[in-house]
Amino acid sequence: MAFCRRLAPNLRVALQTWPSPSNLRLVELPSWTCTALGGVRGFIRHPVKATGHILGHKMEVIQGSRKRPSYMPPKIPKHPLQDVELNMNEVLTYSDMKLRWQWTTRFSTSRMTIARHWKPMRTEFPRNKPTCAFVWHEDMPHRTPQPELPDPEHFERIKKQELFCVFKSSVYHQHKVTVGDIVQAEKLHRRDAGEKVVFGTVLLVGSKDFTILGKPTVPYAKVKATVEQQTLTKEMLAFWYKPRRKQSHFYRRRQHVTMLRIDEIILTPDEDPADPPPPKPARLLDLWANRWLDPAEKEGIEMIEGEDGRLIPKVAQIYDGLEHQPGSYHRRGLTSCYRYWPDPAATHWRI
Amino acid sequence: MLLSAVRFGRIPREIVFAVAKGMYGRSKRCFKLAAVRVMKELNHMYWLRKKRRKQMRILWITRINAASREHGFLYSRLISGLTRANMAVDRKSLCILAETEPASFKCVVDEAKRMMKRETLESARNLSRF
Repeated sequence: MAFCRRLAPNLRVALQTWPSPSNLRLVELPSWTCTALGGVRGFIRHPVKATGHILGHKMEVIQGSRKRPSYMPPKIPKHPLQDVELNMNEVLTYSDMKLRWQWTTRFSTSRMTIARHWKPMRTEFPRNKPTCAFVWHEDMPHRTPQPELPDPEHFERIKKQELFCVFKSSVYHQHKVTVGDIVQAEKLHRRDAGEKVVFGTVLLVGSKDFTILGKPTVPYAKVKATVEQQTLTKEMLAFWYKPRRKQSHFYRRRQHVTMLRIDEIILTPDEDPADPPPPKPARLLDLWANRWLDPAEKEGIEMIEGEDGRLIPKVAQIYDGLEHQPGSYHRRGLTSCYRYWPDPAATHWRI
Repeated sequence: MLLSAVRFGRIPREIVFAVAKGMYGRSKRCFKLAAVRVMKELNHMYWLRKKRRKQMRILWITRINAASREHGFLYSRLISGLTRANMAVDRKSLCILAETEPASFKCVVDEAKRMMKRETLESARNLSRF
């Protein structure tokens, strides 16, 4: 067993096969022990230190505590005939030339241990197709895949129910709300108090009679809310330092938040859940200038008559209204509703 | 670090005394003593605010675990079942669901149970769901 693992790479394989190598002694236990342990376990005694380890069937025994070779591998003497760099001036006796294995591998790998086996992680990819599951509470322990929608005869019944839902108001934050709740969300960009906003990423809808499990979202559900306040939280004092470091930081900060009042949780099972197309170029002129124009500037925009007779800005002839960057309309609140990851309809931040 | 309040990133004197209000002994009156106590106090508050997120998550997990065990299901199996089911409801929402909406929470647990059932060979070979 004094081989280095490099010289005997199939050592582990050898150890898995019974009977064990010469210096591993498989000691037969008394018969009552063998039956108690199922008859497959042996008591492996190592001559040096591993006494007392009961190893299971097919358990892998390795030399040393690590499965990988260490950074400072043990010195292995070359055969004197192959050792070109051996300084012959230092060779005084015959024992200096002798191939000595005594002190090579002893200290690092003298101990026998059981190799740790890590289970490989179960892969999550490819993900299942995004769907949702409609579950009536009457047939509660559902054991089969549930449909996305109930029977069309129940559509009206569903819409009239009092609902609650879990929706996302930003990439990070989920809220469980019912109608009339006030929630504190991250700041919504360029939204004033009193404006109506729609959130399209609904993860779960429930009521007294049914639950709709979004996997990951419910495509036909939306949350309508009113912006109650665009405000700041209370002032927090932040002061921190670390011992023995000559620095400290003190600042007062207030976080921008948006208070939302939930007006409505809408289920539209009979409509197409796809969002309307992106806004028209007339609305996008601000983006063309890459800033928000004031009314005086907007009046200076040159308008022409479009194909259908309506006035459109002249820029629309060369700019078709595509996003220059995915998610830029969403960030400015121009899309019909806010959608965040993991919504499959979200326009950006996909994984 | 030298615990002195006269430095860059220092705490203003008014704030020192505002925070030191109600402290024991001369710490609430003498600036030199109060500064040290307040710096330590605010430093604790700062790091505890970071720690609170971890603690809340631990709390949610504990509650979800207890609630899902009522349905005979372990937390770890629940979470891995939800992952396989492609559901994105987080711990906070699950915890609130378990507390306030037991029926819906049971639906979620049932869904996870269904996903964690051992796959038969046919369903494992069925690639139509991808």
